[in-house]
Amino acid sequence: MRNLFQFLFKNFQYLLFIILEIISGYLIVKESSFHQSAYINSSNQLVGDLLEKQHQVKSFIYLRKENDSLAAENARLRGEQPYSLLSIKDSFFIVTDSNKRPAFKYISAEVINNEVNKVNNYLILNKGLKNRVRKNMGVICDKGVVGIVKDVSDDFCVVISLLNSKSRVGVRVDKGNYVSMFWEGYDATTASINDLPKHIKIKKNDTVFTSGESWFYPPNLMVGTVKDYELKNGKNFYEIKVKLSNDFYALKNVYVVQSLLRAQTDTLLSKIHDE
Amino acid sequence: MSNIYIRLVIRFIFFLLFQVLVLNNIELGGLMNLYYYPLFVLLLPLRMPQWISLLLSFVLGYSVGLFSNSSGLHAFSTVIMAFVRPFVIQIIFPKADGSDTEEISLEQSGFVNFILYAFILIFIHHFFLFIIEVWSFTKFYFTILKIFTSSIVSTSLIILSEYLFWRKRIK
Repeated sequence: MRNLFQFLFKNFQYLLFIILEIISGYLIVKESSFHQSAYINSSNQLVGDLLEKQHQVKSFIYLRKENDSLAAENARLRGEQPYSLLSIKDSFFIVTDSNKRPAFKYISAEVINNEVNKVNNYLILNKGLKNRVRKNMGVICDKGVVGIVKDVSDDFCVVISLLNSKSRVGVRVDKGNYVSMFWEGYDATTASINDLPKHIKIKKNDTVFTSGESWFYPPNLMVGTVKDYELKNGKNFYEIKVKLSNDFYALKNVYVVQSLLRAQTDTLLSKIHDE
Repeated sequence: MSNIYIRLVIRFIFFLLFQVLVLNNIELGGLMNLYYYPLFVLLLPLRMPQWISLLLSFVLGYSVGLFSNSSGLHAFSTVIMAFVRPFVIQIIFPKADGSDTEEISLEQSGFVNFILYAFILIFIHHFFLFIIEVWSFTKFYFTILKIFTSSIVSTSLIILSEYLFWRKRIK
């Protein structure tokens, strides 16, 4: 027994090294799981507060640019208001709005920490549980898709960026079928699609929209355009490069998407899986 | 003796804040990531017991990672770096016994030796950091290139700052 203790004491640093690496390995595995909530992450309060302070300084510098982009979005939305549309036949007017019900609500938020350089990038937003942000909500901005909420604290939330090797977005190319878009891991302006079958005709500069299948994001939201595509010999699927319409380097104001119908589809699906 | 520990704590906080508040915001494209905080491990006193430096590097890596959801990743690579450090010191500075030189510094060890010392350890740190981050061989050459370019950029930053700011500390 005494020899054992002596041995351990003599090799204490090696033992400590192994223990520390095991702890780190455990943390790596825990943080890399997509949907599992990590107890300690950047939505914790101290880290969030520090980043919020930093954000206040930074946002002051970009105030003018931000104003311009918000004004542009306001102008676009104003154009979609009923009063800016002219009725074609003035004797006959259909109020289409009563045929529809709202499916999405939006919570505006600001990005207080943004990454684009890594393989798995995350964002931190300044809205949390207090603002009705919940896990698995989609995040969009005026120019396209941003990501999905991974973790929420009282005042902040962590978002898995579209620029993350684990993120998938359901999209369709032009009017084609539903495929999934993913990120290759090195170019912040480009994403890829690898499962569009070859019988569908596509061409350069075709627009890519969200499919809205999974209710994370509203459907028909523009994501990007086809930059390049390739059909290798003997393959049945295109390899498509999509130029993202969203500039991830200059991300400031975003909207968290609260889907009012997803709860229903989710319960229906889980019923099927349970059977 | 307590003097050393106070200095370590101040340096720890400074390196942490500088990394997460300044360097994490600098974007040089996907190939180059700037990491300055390994300098903390490089500058640890020679006489310090190895278990303290292992623990300190774990805490530093963990705290840096907290800001980007990768605490395990940074802790892992920083601890490996601290673990390898004594062996690298033995090879590059065979005469350093820790009695006269308190820390490895640019002035006392010479320019070439210090660059070698810094580059080897930072390369080890970046190697594990990026390899584990990708965790696949699909983009192997890109990752290797990223490890090399990032190590070179980080080492240059460390050498530059060591040259400008930390020189006055000695004597």
